[in-house]
Amino acid sequence: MKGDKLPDADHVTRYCGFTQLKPDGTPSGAAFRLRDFANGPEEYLSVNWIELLDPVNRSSAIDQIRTILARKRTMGSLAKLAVINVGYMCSYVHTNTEDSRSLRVLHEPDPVDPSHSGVHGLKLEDELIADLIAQTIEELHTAKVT
Amino acid sequence: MYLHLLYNDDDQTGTGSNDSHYIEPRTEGDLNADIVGVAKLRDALLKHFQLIHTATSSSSYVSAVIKDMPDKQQDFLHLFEKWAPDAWVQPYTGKAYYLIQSKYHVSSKQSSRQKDSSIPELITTIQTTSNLGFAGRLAARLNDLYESSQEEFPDQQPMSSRSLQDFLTLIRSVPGITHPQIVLTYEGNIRAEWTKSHTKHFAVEFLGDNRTKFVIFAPDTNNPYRINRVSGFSTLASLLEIAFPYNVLSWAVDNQYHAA
Repeated sequence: MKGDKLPDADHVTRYCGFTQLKPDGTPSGAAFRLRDFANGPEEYLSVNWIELLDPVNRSSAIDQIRTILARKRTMGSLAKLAVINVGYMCSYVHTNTEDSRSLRVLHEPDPVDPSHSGVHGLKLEDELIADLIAQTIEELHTAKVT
Repeated sequence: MYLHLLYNDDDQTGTGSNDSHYIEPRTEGDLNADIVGVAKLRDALLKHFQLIHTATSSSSYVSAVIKDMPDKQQDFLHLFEKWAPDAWVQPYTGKAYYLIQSKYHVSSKQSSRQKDSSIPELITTIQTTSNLGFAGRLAARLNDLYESSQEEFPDQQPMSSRSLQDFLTLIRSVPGITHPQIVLTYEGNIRAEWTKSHTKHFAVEFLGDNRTKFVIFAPDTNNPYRINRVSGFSTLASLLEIAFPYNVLSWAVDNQYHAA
């Protein structure tokens, strides 16, 4: 349901384009920053809730996310999906920021993307927090449907 | 960038007095032509050149010194005319030039002369003019990012040439700097990262026009078990002065240069 807080034990994926991947294949913090559009900055960082789609089989959930994202955007052939644990990310950022920043990951479903969720509590100038989030990545998967 | 031509008019006057000229590029923003010109001259007359690197806390110099110039004067003048006519033409009067010095300043004065340049040209200059040990890898990486930024549009803005210019200015100004990991921000800016571990991280986004955003994670110099984490904005000229107390050069610069 929209606005529900994701459980700390659950995981999300973040789409990381090739241009935000470092040469070693890991995402830079640049992949975890809000964008500033002409009509204003993004409200939250878009992610996908893995366990909502399949609480047991992660591969199946990742496949579903690939398919969903492919309907919403152009998928780069070298882009990746970064898997992050919700509780660890929030705790890591809270512990390592001067203002003890509290991030919240909330469910933000839309008609074509039921697992769509958002990391709230970020601001446009939060490069430092974006770099901290990048340090919490647990897994990387190819983003494009194979 | 200035071209510093130091000439000696011994041959004509016998006075032995030295003089020097600072010549700014005739075409504003024609940085590429200047750099390529220096490199081609150096490559063509390699055995007659000696490279000298010097640096201060705020600037660095790469000097290409021509040795035994009197014997090669005609070659030199010929090359001068051929390769950089717009930017280099100097009303030389038959005097023997002894020194060519390309001087890279990280300064706001330089950025005021910046103009948009072609990104492929800028990338080409890395390989043709740079004494960076990783010039080839750097150029290849920038090419990949440049091409990908076009493919990923509109999710990704194209690479910014002003950002790239500032990045190249920095990387050429720090002797012994190590190869950073480079990405693009969504806005198309270059972001260079020197990361040794989760606690030794220095990232710089080049905003263009001599402005940067930086992030530093570094062990506290007084208590290595505590990690300092800072971020902020800085001019390109002041960036390293701000970063210096966090000891980022200990992992962003080769040991031998850092020790020096």
